[in-house]
Amino acid sequence: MELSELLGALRAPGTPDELVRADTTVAAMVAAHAETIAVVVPLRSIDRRPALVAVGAALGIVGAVLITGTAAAAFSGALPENLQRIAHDVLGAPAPTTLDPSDTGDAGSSGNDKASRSTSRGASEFTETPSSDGSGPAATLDSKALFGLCTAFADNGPDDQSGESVAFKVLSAAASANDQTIEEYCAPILAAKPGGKPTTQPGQGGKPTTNPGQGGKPSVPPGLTDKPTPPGQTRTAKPQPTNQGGKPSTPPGQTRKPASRPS
Amino acid sequence: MLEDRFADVLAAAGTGDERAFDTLYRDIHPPLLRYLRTLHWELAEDSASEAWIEVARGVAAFVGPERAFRSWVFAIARRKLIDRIRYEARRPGASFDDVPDAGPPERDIADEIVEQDATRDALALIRTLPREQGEAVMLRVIVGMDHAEVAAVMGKSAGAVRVLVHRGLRRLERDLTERGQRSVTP
Repeated sequence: MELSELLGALRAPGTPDELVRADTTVAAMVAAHAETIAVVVPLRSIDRRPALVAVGAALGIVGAVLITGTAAAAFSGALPENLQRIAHDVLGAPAPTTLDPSDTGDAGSSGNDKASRSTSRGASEFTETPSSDGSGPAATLDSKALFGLCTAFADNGPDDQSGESVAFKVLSAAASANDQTIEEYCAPILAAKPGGKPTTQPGQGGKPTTNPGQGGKPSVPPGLTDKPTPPGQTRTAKPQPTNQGGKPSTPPGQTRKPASRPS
Repeated sequence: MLEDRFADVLAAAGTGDERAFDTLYRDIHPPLLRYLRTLHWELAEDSASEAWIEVARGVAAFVGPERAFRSWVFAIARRKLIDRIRYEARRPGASFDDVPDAGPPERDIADEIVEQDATRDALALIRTLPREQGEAVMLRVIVGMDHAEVAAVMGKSAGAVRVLVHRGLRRLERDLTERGQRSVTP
């Protein structure tokens, strides 16, 4: 056989063996083409109502999720103050825990930052007020709040020595003013449980308290919950690398380059 | 090649016309299958079928002359074959050598004179070439693409294709000469 014969044989018309799949393949081609057209056509020519219904259903699901999530946030007291107040009025969720500026005198001027605001709210709540007789800590600080602070301090014990918590700061200041340790300062407060009397102080306008009601108040003392969360520790999720080893499975150029056959 | 008829057949194929698909298939499939068989005999048929399905999906959007259409079909088929080889090898980046290929089946002695055996023998000889030489010879000489078209399908430069075709043909010629000498010498 010469080279021209070989090339002629390779150029010969298709044999029955090579065309044995012709009918099935052509039928599959027609079907594949029809599928392609079916995907493209409906966008303009088919009634869009089903699509609108689908979109409406999707929006409804999203709305339900938002409402459910908001309600959950409202009942856990996690909403901003204004929204929490609305949730309190409408849904019966707990009232916002932030005191009205008129109640505290300085909470409203403590800045915009959430953390600093939260801290100063806690501090202002326990700021010493003029004492009528200057005798004892219970007279200078809200007895109920003091009980909570002391309870928190006693519960945390050595763990609360970092100096960052509101309970520690307030109790430390109050105790040192009386030349006492915190333990000494708290001992009489813990010994005498505070009564359930309202926290409103005389001379503060007689406004009803906005603290959560006695029954709905969380059991955790405010000194603990008011501790600002350091950024990036518990509230802020640590950013994770999004593409770990995510290189393409096929390097560029390999798709079209077969490995060379050894000569 | 359909030549003058091509534009009409392509337009009909774009509407999903069965006869147009049949015309294109019968015109292109034999050289396409032979080309794929030089690369991997056992996976060629299925890869070609998958390629025709993809052609059917995209033909309505194709615009171009017949030569460009053939190049498009061959490029799709080549990619389908490589995908199949990687699937069979169960790993990305696998090459032809990772999937054993038994080549053409044994010929039936009773059909020795049939023309398809001549084609099969010729393909078997092409497959003895280094793969890239055989591929370049098939696309350039058998399918009739020019060097630039072959280069586009193979992902090589036109100059590299020219060298591959030249070396492939020289080697085929030498092998045929040696084979003839062996058949003459008892």
